[in-house]
Amino acid sequence: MNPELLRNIWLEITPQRLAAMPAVLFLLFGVVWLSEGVGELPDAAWWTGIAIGVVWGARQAAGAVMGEVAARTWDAQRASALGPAQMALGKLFGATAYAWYGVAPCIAVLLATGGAPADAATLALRTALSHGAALFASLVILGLGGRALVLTSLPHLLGMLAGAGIEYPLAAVSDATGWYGLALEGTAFGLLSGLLLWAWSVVGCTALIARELNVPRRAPAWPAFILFVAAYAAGFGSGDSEHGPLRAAFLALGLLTATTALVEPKSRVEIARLLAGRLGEIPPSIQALAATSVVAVLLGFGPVQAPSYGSDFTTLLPVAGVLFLARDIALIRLLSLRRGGLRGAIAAVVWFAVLYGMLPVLLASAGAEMLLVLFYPVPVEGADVATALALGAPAAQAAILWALLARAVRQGLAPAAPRPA
Amino acid sequence: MSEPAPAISVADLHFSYDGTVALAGVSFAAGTGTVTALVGPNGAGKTTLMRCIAGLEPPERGALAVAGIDVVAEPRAARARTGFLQDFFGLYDRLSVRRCLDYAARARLVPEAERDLRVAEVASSLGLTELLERTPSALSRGQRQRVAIGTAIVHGPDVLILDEPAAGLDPEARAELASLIRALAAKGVTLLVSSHILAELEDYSTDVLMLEAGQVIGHGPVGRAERQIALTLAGGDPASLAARLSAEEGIGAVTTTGQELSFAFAGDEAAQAALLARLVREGVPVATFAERRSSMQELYLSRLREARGQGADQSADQGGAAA
Repeated sequence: MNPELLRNIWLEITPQRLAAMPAVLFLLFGVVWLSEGVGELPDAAWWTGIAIGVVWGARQAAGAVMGEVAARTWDAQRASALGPAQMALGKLFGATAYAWYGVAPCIAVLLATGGAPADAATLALRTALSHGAALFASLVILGLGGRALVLTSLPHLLGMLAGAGIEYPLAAVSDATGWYGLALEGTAFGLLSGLLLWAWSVVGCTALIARELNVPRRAPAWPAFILFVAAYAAGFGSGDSEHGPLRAAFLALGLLTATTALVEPKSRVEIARLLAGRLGEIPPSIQALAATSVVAVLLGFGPVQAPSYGSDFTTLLPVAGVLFLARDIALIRLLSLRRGGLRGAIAAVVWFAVLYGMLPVLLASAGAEMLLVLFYPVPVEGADVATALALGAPAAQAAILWALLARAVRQGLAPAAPRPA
Repeated sequence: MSEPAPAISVADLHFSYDGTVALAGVSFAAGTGTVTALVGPNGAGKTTLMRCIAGLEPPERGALAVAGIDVVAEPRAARARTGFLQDFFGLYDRLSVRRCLDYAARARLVPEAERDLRVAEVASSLGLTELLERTPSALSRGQRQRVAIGTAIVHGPDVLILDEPAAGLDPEARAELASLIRALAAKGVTLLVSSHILAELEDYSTDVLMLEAGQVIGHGPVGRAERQIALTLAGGDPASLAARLSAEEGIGAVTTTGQELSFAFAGDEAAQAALLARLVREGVPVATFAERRSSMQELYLSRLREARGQGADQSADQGGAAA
């Protein structure tokens, strides 16, 4: 048996707790039955399941690693011979074992009292999604250098949000736009999408734990996820226009690149290796940027191009977008070098609020719209000054920030002078 | 026939925390069954070095191997052959001692058929048999430390890394720890032990590795520490004798304290006897003449002063060059 799963079960499933959960649920459902009648039991089972599985279970998942860090047992685990998948699955299902022990009777009561099977499946999916998202978010925070137990609240919150019905908007978008023209029923599509997201959250947890364990990454999980995001998003653009799928993929990959740049672990050594031309461990954001660039080039110069000048989304807009993303990655890395991962990410969000929000608003209100090319990818086309500015401004900013980053990285890696007597 | 690979092999190891270089080109090897004392001032890089060898920190560059296994390329295989005890114990306070040991054995790939036996053996060797059903939170610091050592050795590692293992222990527990370290080394386990209590390290270490500012400033067997001769005069002029001795081959710098002279001596025991006979023959009023081996502490402090002196010289040179 997976040692990490077994250890968690030793901690979670004690004889007292084993007896307590059924007793409490029996009492609760008994009271509902007697006071409200059997017709209210499916609702009671649903909301009790959400409370135990999503609200409480996500907390357990969020604390699965953060709790180890706080108790100073994490390094002992990292020094063991456990593999990333063993540890990810052991924590995901072990730390939440008691929550599942409570959710299972809720699902049984829901089904036994006339609840819809789809509701039971949704309850199980939301529970699983909230756990996967909470553990994943906690590992992201850990990778950024956040080690305080209080930070468990953030992945707990994100886990609860993921379990609050992420399948609804996906189902709604699918209903509204279709997905690759397939006639899928919205709820089924939402559940299927949720299941895929959960599977990716498990893959993500495994990849982040592999990083914590310093285990070389062999499976190309991240490139596979990038492809998945592009393909999944492209499905929503299929009913839009000829270039719709590429446009949807571009927007999704751009968002993925920006988010990844903010939350990925930032190692000075990793960037130093990259700048030295050692491409063995390319940071995830750079991989995502490369994929975004490919789609941008396809949109600009491929067989299905974006519309030309006069549209909101022109041929060169994605290229400018890629250049701004390249600038933003360098800015985030620079801020993180100076402040550390978590504080750097927070500082970057503030910078972006200024760069993408406050300054453009001020310039626009002052009538200086021409200068917006310094802050936004703007739709331009053709060989004129506006195009040169729209591409040149982000390119220059990206070049300057990457040069500053390279210098800061090299300075930081200089050997320390011997300590004088 | 080729020589067996050293139990620990470190070559040109570099590591930096963001903005701070912790290890700058550390190289050393430790043979099977040796006990290497890792010493250095706070911030010298001792704990970082240990964490790199244990596979907890990926080096920037350089090579690391434990029992011939590349720690960077095959961290899981290397960890299965390594035990690591940090200065905090990292025990699960809500699990019984038996389950702590059992989990450690499972997590370090001890085969199922051997697991119970290994747990029982380790508990017996560490005097934990009576405590197996108690939780670590109910134990004294010394007992907790024994449980932590148990989790680090339950899989029968080839290499055991102990970071400040004696911190906070009472004298009796320290003596037990020293016995345990000697017993493990006798079984062929290679140990790397850091401590600030050098007299204690000297008691059981076979080798010493000295770090300063992330660099090795000394490494070698403890038993072959530099020999010193201390000589006391009953009269006469110590300064003139010091000048004469300094000029002789095999004698290092002579320091004089009152009527006592001390100097490093490179010769063997016969050469030492010949030197004494010559001094007496020449009428030097020798009151005492004895060999004094440098203690690890003296050797460490001397190396530290040398390293810092060189560092100051280098800084001055660099400053001059810059100017």
